[in-house]
Amino acid sequence: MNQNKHIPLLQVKNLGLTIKNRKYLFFRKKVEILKDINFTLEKGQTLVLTGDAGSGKSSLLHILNNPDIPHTGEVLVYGKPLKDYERRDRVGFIRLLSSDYNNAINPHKRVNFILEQPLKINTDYSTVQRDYRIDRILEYVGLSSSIKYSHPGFLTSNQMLRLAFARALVMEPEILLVDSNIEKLDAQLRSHCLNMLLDCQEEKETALVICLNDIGLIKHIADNILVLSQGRQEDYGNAKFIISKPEKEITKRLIQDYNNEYRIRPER
Amino acid sequence: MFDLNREAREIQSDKDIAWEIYKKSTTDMIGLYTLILCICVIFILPIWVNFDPLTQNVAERLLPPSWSDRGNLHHFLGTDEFGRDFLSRLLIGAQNTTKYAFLACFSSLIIGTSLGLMSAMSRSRTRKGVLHHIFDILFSIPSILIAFITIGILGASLPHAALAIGVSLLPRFIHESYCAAKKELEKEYVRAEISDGSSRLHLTFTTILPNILSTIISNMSQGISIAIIDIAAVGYLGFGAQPPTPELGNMLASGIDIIYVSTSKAIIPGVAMIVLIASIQLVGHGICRVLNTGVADAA
Amino acid sequence: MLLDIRNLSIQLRSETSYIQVCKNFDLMINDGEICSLVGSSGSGKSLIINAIMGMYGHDMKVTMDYFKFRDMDLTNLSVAERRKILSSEVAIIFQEARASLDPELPIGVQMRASLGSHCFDDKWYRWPFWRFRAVNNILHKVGIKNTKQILRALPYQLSEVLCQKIIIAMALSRKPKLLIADSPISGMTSTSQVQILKLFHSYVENSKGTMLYVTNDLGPASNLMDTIKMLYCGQIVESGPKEQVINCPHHPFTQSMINAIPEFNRQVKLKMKLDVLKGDPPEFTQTPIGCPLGPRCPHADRECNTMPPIVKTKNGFFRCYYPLNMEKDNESK
Repeated sequence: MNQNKHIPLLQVKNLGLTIKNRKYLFFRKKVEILKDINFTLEKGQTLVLTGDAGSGKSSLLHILNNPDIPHTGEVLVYGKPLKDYERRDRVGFIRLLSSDYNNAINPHKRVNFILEQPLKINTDYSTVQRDYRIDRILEYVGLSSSIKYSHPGFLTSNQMLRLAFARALVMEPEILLVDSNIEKLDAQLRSHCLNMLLDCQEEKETALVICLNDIGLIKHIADNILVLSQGRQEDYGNAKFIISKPEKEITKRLIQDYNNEYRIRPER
Repeated sequence: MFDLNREAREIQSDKDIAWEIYKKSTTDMIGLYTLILCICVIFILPIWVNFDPLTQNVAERLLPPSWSDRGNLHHFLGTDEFGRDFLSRLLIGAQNTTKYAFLACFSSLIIGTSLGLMSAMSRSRTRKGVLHHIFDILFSIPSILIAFITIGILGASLPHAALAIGVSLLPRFIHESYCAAKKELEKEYVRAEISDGSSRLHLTFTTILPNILSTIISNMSQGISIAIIDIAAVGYLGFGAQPPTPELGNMLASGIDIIYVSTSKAIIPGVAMIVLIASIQLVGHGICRVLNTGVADAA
Repeated sequence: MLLDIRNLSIQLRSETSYIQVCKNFDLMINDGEICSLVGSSGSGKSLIINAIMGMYGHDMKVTMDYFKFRDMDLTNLSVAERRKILSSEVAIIFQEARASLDPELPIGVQMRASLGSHCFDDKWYRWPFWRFRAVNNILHKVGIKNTKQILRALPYQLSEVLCQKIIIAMALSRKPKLLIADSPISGMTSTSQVQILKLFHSYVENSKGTMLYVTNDLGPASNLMDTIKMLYCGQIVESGPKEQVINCPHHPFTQSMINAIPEFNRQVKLKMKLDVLKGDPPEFTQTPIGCPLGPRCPHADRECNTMPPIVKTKNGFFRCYYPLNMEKDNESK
């Protein structure tokens, strides 16, 4: 029998992050932001991170995005630690999409500069090739290419969101990290965003790591779910099983509270 | 059908957009025109016209300005107590004061901003602290006192006063540029750029410096105003430019002595200083407003 | 009736002219009712709240035919006087939580400052230092456990959700007659959401307050509402009691907002795409003539170039030439 050792796309083992916070004038207290996180991610899969504020979701995404932050444990991509990859290859793999578009886009530079930056630093394309790539990615997210010459301050919020998408997708990453601000958008924009992410997954087999709090949405898009609380991993597994038969206390409570009396129940 | 000409014209370069936004405020335009006028008159006009602030003419002492009864059109603004032409003294005096004020402020700005940026971008805590606080002791000593100390050591003259004022402006620039750069570093897009892989040097010049430009310019206009006032103050007390060199400060001083005899000699230098400082402030304010359009406020 | 506004119209001042942001806006809230205003982002919800409360300067031009608050006719008062009367009785929870808190003062100081003397309802001998005790109680009610650390902290040290809970606590502690909340529970987990909604429920029932709940998502809190008004591009396109709007929506925009709510109670196909209206909501400078949903509506036709008239249903109204679900409505009649 052939022992086909399958190497997963992303594997995280025993990830931990502690920072020292200054408590009194000379005393620094160690705060454990993340402790002992383990999960695996395959190509084309979606992993959803759940947990209330302060549970370390954004910190986890930042570590995946930038492995230079000192952490314990290992982050392996195709079996090789992420730190060992060249920065150019790493940026081509993993990109972070910030949906807090007000703060995440430099308001003083034009759009084509913002989109060109990652290409210029990390790839060897010539100017013409970069231009072409920018045009194509703007077409993909649904922006007209005349927007290249405007400043982000003069765009509407819809256009800024698509620009944030374009900036994340311009390097054609294999893993896309989406932070938790996607839920603060209004319902139409949020569905639109999720549809775009699902499109991307279908066409290019991108793996997604999303932070969501709404269990209904999780049921729609998640393959696996990882529940965090106070930096500790409470529950991890296949989303369908966990939501239909929750075992841990915290997951049970989340699902129970989701089905509360105030949630809308339309008869369809 | 598309109209390429019109569309291409609609894409304005940064300069055009900036000029259009600047033009909207009338007060800023007045400030700009006044400043241009002042600079032309103070710096460029003396190249062609022979202004003569030093010739004394005792027969024509203390003439009033030419629009009053006893005035003479030869001496447009009158003469001072030694018979020297007051208009020439005003222009050359303003030239002296402004020249050294600009010099002091700009050199202090460049040194201060680079120190502030270096301390904000550096990674080690000790280097950050040292660069940030190295000149803080100058904060506690008022600028005029620093001027006195310098002049006591080096002797009374205008360049020494300017050096002292420049030194006293240094900690303010360091502190402001450090705070602004620190605030920029916490923004999401800077973190995105760092994770994209730009080196810290590239990041400084591409992202951080343009974004803190508005803070730097507002500080610069404040700094120039303070420099002009302080140099004039040191000159008023007699420690700046020595007579017969004209300078706004010592002209004010000699004007105050003869204020009951000839009031215009005391008022005119003061008015000149007010006009200069007000126009510099208005231009600085306009430039900051231009740089901050399209940037949503945090709160 | 607690609040009665007729024909509110808002115009924003741009460089050359005024842009019409809101037209023919009516709002009638009864005592003890929770009224909900639902609209996508950029449809003018926050502008309407600012206009009602009088928090605008020369950049906005607001006209209304009638404004009545608790039997006081405020139509002809100036903005400053209206603000003065309303500020003692109305509490607002803004959308940006961290921006609503003073960044220089610790939280404890701000919370104690927001407690007016009319909030004291205890025995007379407990009056000294009552604010310190009251603040602790309030924070426990919203579900914050380590109050001591938080009361000493500055806003920038706290997470966004915590700041949201704090401003909700501050607003409720003043015991207002009308509470206006602008997306108060966005970004919270379901546990925190239930807690806050229970608080609102008890505020309306026990303290006999009234609420205007402005949101951009129909999902989390709609069962709490009594009336729902759907806002698109500054105009109310559908309004009615909750059961009618949710079970039998007439306007396509309402239908699309209901479709955007994720299903939980049924088995769903994994990676199912959610139903959205194509395109983006229009900007105010480019509002379509006639029905504002025109270009995006799947049922639009040539008639939709003119403004649809108000069609009254049993307890509400809608504005559409080709409404949906008319048969269901006829059946229920």
